[in-house]
Amino acid sequence: MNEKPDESVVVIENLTKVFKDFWRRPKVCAVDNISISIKRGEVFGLLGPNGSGKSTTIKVVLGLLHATRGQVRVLGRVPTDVSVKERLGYLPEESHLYLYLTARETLDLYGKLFALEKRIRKERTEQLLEMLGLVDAADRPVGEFSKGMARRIGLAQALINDPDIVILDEPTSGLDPVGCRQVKDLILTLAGRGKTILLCSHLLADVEDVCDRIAILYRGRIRAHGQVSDLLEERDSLRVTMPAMPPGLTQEVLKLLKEKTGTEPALDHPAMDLETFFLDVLKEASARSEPGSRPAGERSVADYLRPGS
Amino acid sequence: MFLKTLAIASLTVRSAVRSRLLICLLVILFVVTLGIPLSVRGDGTALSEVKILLLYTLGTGSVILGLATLWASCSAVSHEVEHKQIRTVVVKPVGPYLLWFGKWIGIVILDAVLLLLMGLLTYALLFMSLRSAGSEPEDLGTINSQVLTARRLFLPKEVDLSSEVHRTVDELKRTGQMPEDVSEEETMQLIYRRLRARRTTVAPGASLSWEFDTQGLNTSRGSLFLRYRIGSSIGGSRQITGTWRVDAGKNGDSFNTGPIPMADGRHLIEIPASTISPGGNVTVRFENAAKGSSRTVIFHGDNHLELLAPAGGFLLNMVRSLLVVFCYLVVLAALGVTAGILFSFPVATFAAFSLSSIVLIVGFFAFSSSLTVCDHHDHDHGGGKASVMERVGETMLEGLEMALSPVRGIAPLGRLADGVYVPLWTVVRAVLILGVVCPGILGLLGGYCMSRRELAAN
Amino acid sequence: MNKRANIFLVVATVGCLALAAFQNRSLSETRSNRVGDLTGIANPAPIVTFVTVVLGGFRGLIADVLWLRATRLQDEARFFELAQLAEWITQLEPSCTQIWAYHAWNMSYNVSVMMSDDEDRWRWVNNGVRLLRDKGIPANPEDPRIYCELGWLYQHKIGKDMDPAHMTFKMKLAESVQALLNGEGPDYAALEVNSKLARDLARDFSLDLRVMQRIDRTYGPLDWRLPETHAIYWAYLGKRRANGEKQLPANRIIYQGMAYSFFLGDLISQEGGLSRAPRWPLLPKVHTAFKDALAAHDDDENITEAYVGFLRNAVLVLHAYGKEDESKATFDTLHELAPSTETQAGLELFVGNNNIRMASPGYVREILASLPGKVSP
Repeated sequence: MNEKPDESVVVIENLTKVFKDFWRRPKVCAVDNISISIKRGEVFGLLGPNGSGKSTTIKVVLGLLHATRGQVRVLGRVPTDVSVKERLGYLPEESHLYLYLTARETLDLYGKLFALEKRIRKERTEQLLEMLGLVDAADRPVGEFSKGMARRIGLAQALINDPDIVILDEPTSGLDPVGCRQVKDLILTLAGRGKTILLCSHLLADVEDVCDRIAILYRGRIRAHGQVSDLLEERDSLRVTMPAMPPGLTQEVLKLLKEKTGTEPALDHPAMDLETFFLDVLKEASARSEPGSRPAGERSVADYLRPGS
Repeated sequence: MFLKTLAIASLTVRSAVRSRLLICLLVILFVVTLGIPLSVRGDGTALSEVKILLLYTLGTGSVILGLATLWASCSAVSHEVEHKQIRTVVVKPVGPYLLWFGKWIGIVILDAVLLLLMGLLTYALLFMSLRSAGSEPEDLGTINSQVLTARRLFLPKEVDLSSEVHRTVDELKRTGQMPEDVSEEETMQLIYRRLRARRTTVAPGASLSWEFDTQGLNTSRGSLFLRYRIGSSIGGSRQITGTWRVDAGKNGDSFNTGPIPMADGRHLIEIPASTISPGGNVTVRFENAAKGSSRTVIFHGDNHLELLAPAGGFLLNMVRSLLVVFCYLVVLAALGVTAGILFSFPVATFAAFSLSSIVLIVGFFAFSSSLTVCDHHDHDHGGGKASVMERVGETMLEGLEMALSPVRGIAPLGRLADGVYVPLWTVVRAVLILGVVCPGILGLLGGYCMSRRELAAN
Repeated sequence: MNKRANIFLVVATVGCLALAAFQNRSLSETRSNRVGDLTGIANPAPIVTFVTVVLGGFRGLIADVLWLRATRLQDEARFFELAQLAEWITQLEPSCTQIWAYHAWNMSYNVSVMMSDDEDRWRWVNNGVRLLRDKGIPANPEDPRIYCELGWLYQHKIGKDMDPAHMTFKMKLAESVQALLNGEGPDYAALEVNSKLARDLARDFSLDLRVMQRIDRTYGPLDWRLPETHAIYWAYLGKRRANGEKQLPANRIIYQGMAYSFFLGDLISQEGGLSRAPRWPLLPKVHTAFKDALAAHDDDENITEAYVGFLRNAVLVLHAYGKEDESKATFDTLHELAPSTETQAGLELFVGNNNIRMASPGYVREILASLPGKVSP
């Protein structure tokens, strides 16, 4: 496949998906004539409430569902093409794993399905287990895992082949804040390596943190789409951030602004978000109780997923 | 490709092991193998006990394995679709055909292991029971010569009756005696049947000969046996006396039994190996004793006369039989996996079970239908014409029987229990038809349906 | 469209249910007529309960498939599975007496005659007997027909001389009973109901010591090594479970059995085998058996004929053995029952005119064989 930097790797054109009942009668139109184009290296988010058609769109992109109308191309081919699947990684909405396999066996199995060499499988498995904090649970059947742990192993299997396109359905669902941050960091790391990421979520903060572009779906249709910064920018207002000033100087600046613009400017202290604060607290607590240990949420990214590898 | 197939196959095997299916089957097979000989009785002879052990133990075990195969293979895909694990598999570079193949191979491996264990257990049990039961030496001899062996069956050469049929029809036409209410074809069939009947009836004082082509016969393994089935003109009577003569011309000694009394039923006489030399023709002749000391003898059935020659050992025959059984399991696995792709688990199990049952019982129904057809053709007794529905049913059964005949008709366990050689060709045929062609067709169907099916629709 | 389809479906459902309800009554009637009511059995065997309740309607289908297999195997002269198949088929339809009777009869008559060896024949005759005695009767303890079927097998297949191997059958039966009783019958006075012998008799022959004693008191003492005695035993039990005309088959077996027992009821062990001779003390009890049957069945013509036949042969046999008084008394009974010019002519002329060597029943020849020097057969 010839690949150009600006090439659209996922193209959805006029996609409509209608679910039918047993008698082939239309039951519900889950996706209604949507068109999306995702470029290489882009992190694209599908946003929307439950039942808006996000997961359905993803499933059509993966070939798990067939389009009723319109067409979908992944890397220029139909989604069911095996060569496309070689370069895909998919984390389903819920991690449906083989409950009797251990975490290590699970990753080995999926590695085999990509026909990875034994040495590579072993290396990647260990790195992914380390990255996702599952080393201690590596030999436990995944049936015994908590939802968060199952989610992590689900994410690990999606990355075992070092995919070019990663499709994540509700990636942070069921994860604790540490896990959420880790996933978001990972997404950014992968994007930094030129991977294309398509994710869907209804957690707006997640999408805002990592996505370059988003599309908002409601009742199967795209209601808004574009760059996150463009969509969220309030062009008729301005924020200036600077070190704290003496109170007199602050009053003078405010007065001057009021005189010049004729409006009352607002003044506040910028606040860190709760997630950053929470992680800082954990980091500090961890450093105090176990000096020298790696703080929670700071596990290294698997070597083969790091930039430059 | 190999790695992917192996991964899916091992996943299927592991699923069976972890879900305790394998251990349950092992226990059931163990209980069946030990329990059947204790609970099923023969006709009271040591020979029948051995036959029962072989036929019923291996037969029941095979049926259980077949049912388990259907169940496991139906669940192999449908269960994963239902529990959504399939979604993480099909988005990997595994084509639908490869997925089907991997699942099938997994079940086939399980079957191979279980069948092997069952065979070993039965074999061990057979010889242990023979040693420990303290059977009479005479019984042991009979068992050795009639069950624990592999005898090739030679049937008499078919006598071409067509020219005689045509001659008779010409004669009837010439003399104007052709029946008007029956077609010429039916008349010819009747004449053929009558001539054939003559080839199976011997009046007192008369004799009847058969010729055997002994190509491929091996006389180095010991005595041969002539097995025949007779009935007398008066049922239940034992007033039949006859002499059997076996003559191989210049190629061997001639042998005769002298006049022996015999009853209705199936009999076996031993023929010294020196009588027959391989490769030539052997003539077998039955001479019925004169009126007063014997009655008219009727040779019953298609297999009224068989020459049995030792052709190999019991163990290898058992291996060949189990290979054929294995081929049946292989085709059941293919059927189950395909059904599991097409339907949900309960529907797939029902569909696969029904289809296999039809294949199994169509022979029974065709058999009973043939009896009914005979009744309908019995014009003389005014048996009444078959209704349209009956005709349609019969035609459908015949069609089904014809379509399924390559799959059916290979009954290795019956032969094994009868000490009859299971030819290599039978095994090759089973492997080709049941192990390759049928699974191939089912695999293509399964793979195609898999590629068309929406696996995330639920 | 959907609404109309729904209405159609509702109407179709109601229609189907109504049709099913309509059919249900006739089906229930047919079923109760054909299958009978299992609840009538006081203590059905576990296997009977299992196949009736668990398999439901499928048992008929399974029985059919097994029956077809049995037919095919029999057709191919492959008999070794037949006993087991017969047992399974009958247990799948446990309350159908005809099926039990057919399979027992098939093994005892059809299959046995396919065997060249006498021992093999006996095994198959015994398979039929065992099917009825050990399985069929416990499954249908209140059905008089099945008792009579078993009585018939003892009386006809083992007791008569239709089969060339009949002496082997008799010998085998006698040997097996002798092994337990060590004589012709149990010593009731010295036995308790729970004695080892009683248990052995129940185990090997399903015989109840109390019933045996009652039969010996009524009809005997009989020789329990003989098939006729067993035939009488089972017919007696069948008779107790029937009323009116339904007692006829049982009564037939009883009076015929008594007649045989009179003519050949003494078993004599000889070198080279067994021989039988008349059992004289039974004569009054044979009369009683016939008279009871005549009374119960309104002087049935066939019973009268059978009685006359017995009397004629008895007169000749008694006379041949020199038992003049008994012969005369029997002749008088014959004359009373069926007076004819032949009987009016008197005993001596009757005996003179009826050549005993020409007497038709085969057993007469056997009786005469036990009289060396007196009358040569």
